[in-house]
Amino acid sequence: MKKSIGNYSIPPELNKQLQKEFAKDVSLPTSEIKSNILKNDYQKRYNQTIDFSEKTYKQLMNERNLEREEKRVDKLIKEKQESETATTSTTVAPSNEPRTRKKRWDVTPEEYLKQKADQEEQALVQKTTSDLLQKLKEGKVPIINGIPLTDEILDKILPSGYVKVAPPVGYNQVDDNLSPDIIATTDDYYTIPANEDVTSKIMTTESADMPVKGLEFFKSEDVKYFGRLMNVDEENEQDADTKKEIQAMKLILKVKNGSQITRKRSMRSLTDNANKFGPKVLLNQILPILLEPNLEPQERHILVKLLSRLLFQFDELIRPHTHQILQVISPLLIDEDSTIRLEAREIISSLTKAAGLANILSTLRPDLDNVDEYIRNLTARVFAIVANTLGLKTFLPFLKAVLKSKKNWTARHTGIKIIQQLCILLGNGNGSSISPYLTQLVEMLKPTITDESLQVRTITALTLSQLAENVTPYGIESFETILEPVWFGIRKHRGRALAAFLKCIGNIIPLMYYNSNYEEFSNYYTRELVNVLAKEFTSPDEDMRRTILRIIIKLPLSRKLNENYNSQIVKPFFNAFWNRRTASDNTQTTRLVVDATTHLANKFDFLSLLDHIVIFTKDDNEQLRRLAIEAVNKMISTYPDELIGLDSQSELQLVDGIVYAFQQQTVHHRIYLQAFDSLAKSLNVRLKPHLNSIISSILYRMKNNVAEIRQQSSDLLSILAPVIKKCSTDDELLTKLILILYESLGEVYPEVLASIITALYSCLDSVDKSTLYIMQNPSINQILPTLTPILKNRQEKVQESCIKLIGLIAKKNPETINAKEWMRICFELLELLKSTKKRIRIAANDTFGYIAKTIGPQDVIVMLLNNLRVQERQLRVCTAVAMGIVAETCSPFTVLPAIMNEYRIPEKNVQNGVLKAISFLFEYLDGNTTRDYLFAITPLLEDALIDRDLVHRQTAATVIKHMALNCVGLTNAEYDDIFIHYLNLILPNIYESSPHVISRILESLDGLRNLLGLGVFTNYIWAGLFHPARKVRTPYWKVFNSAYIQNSDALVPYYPRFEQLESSPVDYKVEELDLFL
Amino acid sequence: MSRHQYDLIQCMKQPGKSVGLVCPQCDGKCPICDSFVKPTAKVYICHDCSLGHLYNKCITCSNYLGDNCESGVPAYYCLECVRQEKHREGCPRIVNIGSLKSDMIFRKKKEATKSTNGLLR
Repeated sequence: MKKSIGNYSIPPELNKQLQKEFAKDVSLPTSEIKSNILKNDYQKRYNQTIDFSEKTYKQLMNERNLEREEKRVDKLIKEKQESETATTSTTVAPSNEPRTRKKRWDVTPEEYLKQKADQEEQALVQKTTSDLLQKLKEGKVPIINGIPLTDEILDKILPSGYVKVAPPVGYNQVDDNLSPDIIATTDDYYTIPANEDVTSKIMTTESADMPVKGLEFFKSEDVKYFGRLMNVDEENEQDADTKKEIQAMKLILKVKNGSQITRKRSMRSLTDNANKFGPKVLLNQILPILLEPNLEPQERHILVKLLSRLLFQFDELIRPHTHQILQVISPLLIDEDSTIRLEAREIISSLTKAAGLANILSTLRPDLDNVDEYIRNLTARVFAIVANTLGLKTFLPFLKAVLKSKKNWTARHTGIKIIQQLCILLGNGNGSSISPYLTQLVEMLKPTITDESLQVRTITALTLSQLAENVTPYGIESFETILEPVWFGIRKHRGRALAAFLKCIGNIIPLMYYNSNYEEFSNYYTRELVNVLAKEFTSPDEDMRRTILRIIIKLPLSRKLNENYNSQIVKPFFNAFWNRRTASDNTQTTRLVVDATTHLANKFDFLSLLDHIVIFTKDDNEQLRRLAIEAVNKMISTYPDELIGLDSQSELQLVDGIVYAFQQQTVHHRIYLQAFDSLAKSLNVRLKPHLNSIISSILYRMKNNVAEIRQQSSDLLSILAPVIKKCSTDDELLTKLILILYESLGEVYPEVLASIITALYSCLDSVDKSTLYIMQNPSINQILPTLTPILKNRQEKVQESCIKLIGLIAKKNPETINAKEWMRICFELLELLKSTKKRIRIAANDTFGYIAKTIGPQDVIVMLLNNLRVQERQLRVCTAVAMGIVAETCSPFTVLPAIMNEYRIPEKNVQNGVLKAISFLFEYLDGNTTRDYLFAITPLLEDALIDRDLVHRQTAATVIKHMALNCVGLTNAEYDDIFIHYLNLILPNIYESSPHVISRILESLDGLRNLLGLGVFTNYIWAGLFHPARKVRTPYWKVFNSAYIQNSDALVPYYPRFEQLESSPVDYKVEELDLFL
Repeated sequence: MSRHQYDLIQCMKQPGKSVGLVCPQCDGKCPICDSFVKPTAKVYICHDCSLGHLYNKCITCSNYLGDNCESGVPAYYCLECVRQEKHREGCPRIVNIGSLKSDMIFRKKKEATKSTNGLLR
């Protein structure tokens, strides 16, 4: 009976909570906390041990069978124990006999029998001689202060009420007579590597010093794997194998812990010498490290990268190690990070190609019906990748066999999951590789729809729906046979399984809808499915709700088909999904709600649904407001034409709702701006009556204390500026806005400043050009000098927007500003070319072009030429680009002489810069202009092409490539002479070996081939093709191959005539292709 | 991109009817030679690359283009590649992530963990 008084202790709930808090150890090391946070329970299993012993397929299968049996027995025992504890009262102490160890696979029957006999004997001894002496003799009773602590004595010492506790399950009394069991205790703890003496020595000494040079760090975990490096014996003592091993170990450690350069070098040397080391040496070292739980993600990534490169080197030598590699790599397939998943996928794919289907099948087959769901899941994923890599055709027979497996449901489940994973792997709507086998796949899945196991049925439905999703909109013919069983399945199931079946039908209906022969099917199922869905609208289950939304998005609803749609679908839908609860759900669900609402609006009454949603934009709950704004944004941006029928009342409400939600937001989000954007696009000039209220709200918010609000409102201004221009006849409003924005340029927060400048850009861009001239307050003359100091701002966004604005002014209104100001800006821009952000550099280069156009190229080009003498390469390259742009905008004859003059300076960097600028210049120019400068530029290029410096020749080759390709079809014999001259100069460079140089040389040869035609060009290469030295032949064949790819048809007429060489001096035979009329 | 990063792999399957889209950062870049000059021929990519998990990603750098490819712009081959008929070689979609990108992702992650003392990702 419950006591109602005298309860003076703390309430039990609080007590429980306190105890829980105490139980938690606060002093966890950070690394442990980190790993707890980073890995969910499912992924924690990653921490497995790797088995290096090579077992046969039969052994593995036996092992798996034993495991399964063990699990079954375990389950039975557990059930039995539970039923026992339920029936017997708790006062009865359970028997204190230690649980006997079950027969394990690694215990031979003889040993097992012997152990059993021993135990029986002991039990006999205990029973027969129950006196104290016997027990003392065995030494099984603890003796404290001379008192043997037997049960009887303890009963006397302790007060009554104590109960003897049974030993926990799986506890074994330590028996001193037996030798300690080393093998069984390796699970969770650090295991000492095979050569104990070496590492133990190291563990005692300090591991502060690094074993190899060039490392960034050396952690305590590394000692486990690389401890041998710490005290390598003198080299003469080692044999060849150990030497190799030590060498590999050193390189792997360098790859793992080295600085970037060391890392790259050792990676290269490992991959180059992979076959020298052999797969066994390398993999035996790399794989265990990958399983180390404390490994940093970056280190793991690098090792995985190393592994993938080694795979290519080993090729089929990898076969004996397939299982180990899969064991290490496959857990990465369920990592949270998509990049890691993709990486793992690539590795497994290349492993499959190297090892072959048979090898992979035999290694993975035992895991198909593993007792552990985790392993089965991974196996299915790996198999899906295998199937994708090798094609379904070769894989299908195996899959068929697996699906027919009668032994246990797990194999079937995994088999079906392989298909599902394959579909997911291929991605949404990507069914081209599946569709040839679709009928077979569906036929295979047909029997499992009515499988005896619920899991199998559910996964079948899910897989079918995934298949349907992948092959949309084709292939309903294949699905026809399974429609009926699936439809029956809907009636028979509940909960998650029902959701799966509904999803399946929901995904098949779009296929029916696409095929006109199945119109009746489609109508029938849509109508019926809507009935079922209407019932499930109220379901609280998250999974079900999401499924319903997904189905609605795809259903071919129509007013004809669902006549009372308002009462049947729309209203229940709004009741179920448009509430605060949904709005606070995760983004996945809210996005689905938005999509479903848009779909319903499109299919039924667009405007009435829009009206309905606009109401929610004024809700008290912010999340619901945001959801409504999202929906409105999606609706009006996807179907802007529907707004034509909007009456003025609803229009007012719509604008008002968006403005209200914008004003009331506390969490700033881009969606509000997007909503304004799509509103402006869809309403266009109809926004005019509402502009005043919107702008006054923006201006009010621009004075807000909170930086974010100011930023957002200036962003909004930049969105609205083009619309304001459209809605007004003159630029009065815009000039006012420009003034306000100009006055706020003193903003301190860089992010806000960037937004303000962008808004200013947008406003200035929108106004007429004539307004820019007459603008007084502020005039352009005032704005530009204000911008110059802002260019010095360190924030990248500010820099970029500022450069763009200056570029705009230079483009639109250059005349009002004097040249000195422009030069000052040019100097600032040169500084910005150092920026790490490419977009800033590009913007700066463009602006150079605009400025040069306004003030003439002379001053700008001199400044740029001086800049070529700096040390930094990036700066020189950018300067070269800027010169190219200037030359292009101001036509080449104005700058080319100056640039060519600069080439006379005997300095490598300057000459290279000049060549680079010329290269960009000729890339920009079109062929007709290029032609005029060919003769002028030739002496310079000649000089560059015979220079000792590689880069000179490389860059000159690029110039020639650009010139040749631009002039194709525009030259005559006179010009061809120049190009032949170039070809003569370039061809000797064909033997270059530096990768960049040779690729540029080959490209320029290709360009010249295009211009000169194959006939002339091939004359240069025939001799080289058949040269006796391979080193000579190879590059010529490279050139020939690319000619063969592009001009194979033209090649035949130009083949040399070998027969003429030996036969009589006069030959009257005329080849067919030489016949002219 | 594959011109400047050697480990990137282009798909090179038979192109289909769908246009290859790029992100604003890669806008104007030729997918073969990375040139920004004279965009000439529209890029067509193969069926597999236009669907699946790659459908709303930039064809050169795999940046996200928005749910319905809102920020995607059609890619163009430059004049020089067209003259050399390199635009007919096959689908130019980059199908793998180069080591440069994956290295960057992990480096960023490492820096993030360092700055938060390993408690946050």
